[in-house]
Amino acid sequence: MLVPITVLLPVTAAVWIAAFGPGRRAAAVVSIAVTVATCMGCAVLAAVATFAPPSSIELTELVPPIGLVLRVDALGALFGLTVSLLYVPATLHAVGWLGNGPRRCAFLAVFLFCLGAMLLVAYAANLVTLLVGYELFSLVSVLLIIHRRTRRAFRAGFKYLVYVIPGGALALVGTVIVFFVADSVVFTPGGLTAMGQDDATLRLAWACLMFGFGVKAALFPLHGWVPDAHPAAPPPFSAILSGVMVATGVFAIVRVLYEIFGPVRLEALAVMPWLAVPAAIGVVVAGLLAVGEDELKRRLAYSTISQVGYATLAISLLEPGALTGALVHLANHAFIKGGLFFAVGAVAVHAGVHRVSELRGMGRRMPVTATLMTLLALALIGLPPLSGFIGKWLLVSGALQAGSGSALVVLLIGSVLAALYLWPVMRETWTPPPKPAPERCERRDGMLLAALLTGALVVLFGLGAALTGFPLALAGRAARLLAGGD
Amino acid sequence: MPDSVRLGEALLIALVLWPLVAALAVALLAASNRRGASALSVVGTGATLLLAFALFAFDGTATVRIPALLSVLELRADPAGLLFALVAAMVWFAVSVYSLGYLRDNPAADRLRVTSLVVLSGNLGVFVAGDWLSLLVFFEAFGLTGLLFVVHSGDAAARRAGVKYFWMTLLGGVALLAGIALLQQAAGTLALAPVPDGEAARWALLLMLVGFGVKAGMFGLHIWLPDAHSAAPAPASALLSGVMIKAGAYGIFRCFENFSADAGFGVALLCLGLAGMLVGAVAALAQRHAKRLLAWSSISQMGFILAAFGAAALAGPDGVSGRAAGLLHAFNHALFKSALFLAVGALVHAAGSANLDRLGGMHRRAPLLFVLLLVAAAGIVGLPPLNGFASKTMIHHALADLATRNEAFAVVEWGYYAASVGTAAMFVRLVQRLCAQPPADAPATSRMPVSMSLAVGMLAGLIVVAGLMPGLLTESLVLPALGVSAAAHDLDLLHHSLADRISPFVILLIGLAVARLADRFGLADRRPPAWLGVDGAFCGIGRAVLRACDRAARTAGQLRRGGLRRGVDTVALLRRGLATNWTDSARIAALGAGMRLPHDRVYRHLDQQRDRIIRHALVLAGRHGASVPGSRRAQIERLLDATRHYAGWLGTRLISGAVALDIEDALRLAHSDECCRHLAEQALAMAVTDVESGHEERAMALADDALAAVLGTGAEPSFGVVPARRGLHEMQSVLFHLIVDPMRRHWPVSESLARGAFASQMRGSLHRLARDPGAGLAFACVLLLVLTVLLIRA
Repeated sequence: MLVPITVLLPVTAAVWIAAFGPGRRAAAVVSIAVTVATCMGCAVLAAVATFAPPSSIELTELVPPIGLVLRVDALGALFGLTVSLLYVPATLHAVGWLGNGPRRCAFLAVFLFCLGAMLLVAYAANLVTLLVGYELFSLVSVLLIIHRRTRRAFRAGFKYLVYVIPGGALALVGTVIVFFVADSVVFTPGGLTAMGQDDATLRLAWACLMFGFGVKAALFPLHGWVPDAHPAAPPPFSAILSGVMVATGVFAIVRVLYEIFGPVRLEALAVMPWLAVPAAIGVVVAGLLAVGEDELKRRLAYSTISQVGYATLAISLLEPGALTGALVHLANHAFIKGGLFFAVGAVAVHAGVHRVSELRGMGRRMPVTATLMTLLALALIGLPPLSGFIGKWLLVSGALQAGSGSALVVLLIGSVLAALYLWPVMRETWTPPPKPAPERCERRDGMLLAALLTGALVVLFGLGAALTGFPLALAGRAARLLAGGD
Repeated sequence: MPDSVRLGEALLIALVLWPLVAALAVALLAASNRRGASALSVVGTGATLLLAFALFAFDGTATVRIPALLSVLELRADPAGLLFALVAAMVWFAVSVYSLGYLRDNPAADRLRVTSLVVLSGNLGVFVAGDWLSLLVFFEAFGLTGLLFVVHSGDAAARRAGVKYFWMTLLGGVALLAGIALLQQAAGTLALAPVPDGEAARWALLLMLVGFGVKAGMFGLHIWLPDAHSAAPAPASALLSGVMIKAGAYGIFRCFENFSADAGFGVALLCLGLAGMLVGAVAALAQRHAKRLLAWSSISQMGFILAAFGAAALAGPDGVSGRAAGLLHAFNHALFKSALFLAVGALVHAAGSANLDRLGGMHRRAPLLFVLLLVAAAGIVGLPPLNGFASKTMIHHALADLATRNEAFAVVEWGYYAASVGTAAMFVRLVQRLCAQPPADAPATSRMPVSMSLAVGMLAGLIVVAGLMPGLLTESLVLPALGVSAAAHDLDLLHHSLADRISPFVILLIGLAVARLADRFGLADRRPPAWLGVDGAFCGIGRAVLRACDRAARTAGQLRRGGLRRGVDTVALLRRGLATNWTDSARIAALGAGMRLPHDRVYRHLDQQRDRIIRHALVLAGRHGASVPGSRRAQIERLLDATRHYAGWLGTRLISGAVALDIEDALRLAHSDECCRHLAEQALAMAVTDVESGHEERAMALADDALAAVLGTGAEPSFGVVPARRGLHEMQSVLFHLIVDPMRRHWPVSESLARGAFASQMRGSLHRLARDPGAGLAFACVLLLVLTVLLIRA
């Protein structure tokens, strides 16, 4: 019963905000309360998933025998927890950023609706439910991208639609093919059993689904919308974009690979290199482009493409250790990248700085924000004992377990590139500015609070990663379940 | 007994956690009470020292597993780790006492103290780590935190040093990560236990040596050391040079303890150690900056340690003496290098400059510190009865044993002698400078704070004590670390023949001579060529990588903006090549490679000239049509059509002829009114002939002549006939033009394109399509479609 409530609560709140248009404080309080409640609900579900076997709840029936079915299992719980936990500081940030601006109720309403849709994706028990949630939030989030109504925002939104709509169509085509081949679209660990013998059809379905979800997952060469969408979108939504929306694509890919096709069948089809190679290229190329990019948000956007590419590369190795690493990395990356966007958003609003070359002396002007940015950048580089190190280590050892030396090399190159594009940010922040020294412009508002909260989470997830209920444990259990064990 | 076990575990956790707690307390206290904060930092380090002693006295091996990070963070107190932990705690305590005086007037003192405590925690964590992953965690954490030491003073030199330190530490960290992951693959576990041999194990050892070698200042990876250690403030330099680089040596020791390395690794380590010894000594002799001299000396001494480890690895099971020598020298070096840095730091602070030539007269201004510095210098040179003598002689014995075993390694012993002479020479030089005449504008003598002298005195005292009782150290620290019993090896290790006792003095004398020679030769003024240094190689690689990234970003930006255009410049190039029959390869190459060359400008001007020719021809044709009586509208239309067609064609041929000329001539033609008029009249004539009587060869010949006259060259044979104005041909041309860049319409194509409304429509939509967002997506879709097809086929 808790699952539908968790999914529908943000949607209801969104509808209420959109319909009644409450005042600034009321809207802020309601949204924060709703996100915190959703987060707690997801935490409870995560606890359930850790200790109990998966259980399904049917919502409605669309077309017999396909229905909207929800399910709580380790992978879904991990993803749902990540999304809802990141939404708490994101809502704080949004409230701080929106202030008294125009269309704030519309923004909050759509923002919360996206949360609900993403949770629908997380707790989906079959491919159709996942697709419904996926399409819903893909199409609705374009409203958030164009929120600022600038020309750049419109262009970015248009480009995003151009990528996402065909992607969604391809994903639907893939789903239909799967249904016709296998007579079922339910997520079964180890893959659907009755997939038939026709390799060509299976490959076609695989390709359609990978392209369809790969658009969202920023898989090279379908990543073109990412660098444009991030600077154009409002800062709270950029954080969600980078942190969880891109991860949703990878999440869908994991579900499809492991619970529709299954590792055994995938190895028989020999299609995984077609996923691994674009992912590897994406890691390196996006990293290189990030180094040359001056605008802060675009640099972080390329960084997202690169980091999520690690996860996709590891997933394509079809190895439980690598899968655990990929899932943990995605979960940790959500908070690190989200925090970075919060900090960068605060810097852009209060200090008017959008480029790395203008960052000089930020350490004096906004000390707390600058410290958080440095901390999060170090976490992204993979400094122990922060959370980025966990993902990095598991990915590296997973790649070695899978016996793939080239994946290891790509991961290491990506790691060095991450340092290469984050070092100038850190260096410029702490270089003393030329005289006369500009004054401090830090404000204690929702944005700072959001960044602090995320920073604390990053440190916590790093130090305490081994404790139960934290992402690592959930990811481990998820990997074991997906690989067909326990 | 369970109680003592628990006590041991508690001590271990306290050892690593207490400095962090102290750091937090100092940070909180610093805002309100500065003196309290500094006192608290001394208390913190003192308590850590006591904890280290307690652990040392604690009998047995305590192990602690903390559920943190990945699964478990394991700490283990075994003798090898405790040896390093003990010396680290001692040095840190002395440095914190020193800081009481040194940092009194420093505004950012508290930041330094807090950093120092955090780094202490990390450093101790490295030494008491119980498995490789915990070691990696502490190693990376304290390595990057040490960056704060290097950039503390905030000036440009410190920042540059910080950049090098950051990148070398990062790359070392990446290598170490890969190495330990490979080790896990090879051994199946991350415990500090012997690793079975194999391909993965060899790679793991190599990567781990690189990772630890960066920290240890191994030759080839040492480029960060001289800058970092001289840019940091004196107490931080003492910590960096004294203890932090020992973490690298500790790591290498553990590697060789657990890997069954083949001879190649031993030889490599030996050679690198030798190179470090010698290069460090020579470079130190050439320094003017007192702290850089000490930093290069650190590289040299670490070379001694690494050479000893290498010799031990080569000697196999008989390598006890080599490993013992390395460990003992690491212990001793921590003591005398930190004493040297602290003493020199105090003197530099008093003199106001680190330049050796300005440090004269210190023996009178700070006599106590000078004497203590002499003690430390004597220690590092290896004079008996100080501690350096025992460890250096042990190293000598290890290397000599290697030489007796294998004739090829005789050169190693000579290398040892040379490096020892170099060490003696560099410190003779330092002392000489300190005793020289004080410079004329020396700042007034101020009293040296007691705490500074006290700290250096503590370390000097330890040096003397350790020198007088070498057996104590060897028996209680070094041998247990190697897991061998005292009785079997003790006598061998500390047996010093008469030659051993005399050689340090001989070396000192030769060193005196070498120092004199170095000054005579002006070694300090000579700079080796930049390309010779390892430094240059690393910086060059870094710069090249950044340039590559920049170029990638620019190309991506252009691709995004130019879309389809960029990709088909090659098609245009091919067309151009066909037009000139590939004879003018130089120009084609220039055209292909340098679309941004002056030829671009020429084309644009010629293009404009062609437009002018067409317009002028149309004007002439209009007048002609109007002047001919009885001409109908349709006839005039046809005439205009034909004129445009021929004028365009002539213009195109003008362009293709003009680019074969020099740039100046081509530009002259492009701006020549006469040429324009001439060709326009020719076009009109051809059009009139065409409309009235159809296409004629003679007209073609006339055109050729006219062109030749204009171009001033021999008549270029017209390639084919003028393209006929037929619908199909127009369609062909339109399709071709869709692929060619509209901006480059001066490429030899039919002029009939210019008037096709269809064509201009297509051109417009091509422009729009080539910009966002079409190009990327279309390309992607096409590519993916192709991939899908291939996939299904496969």
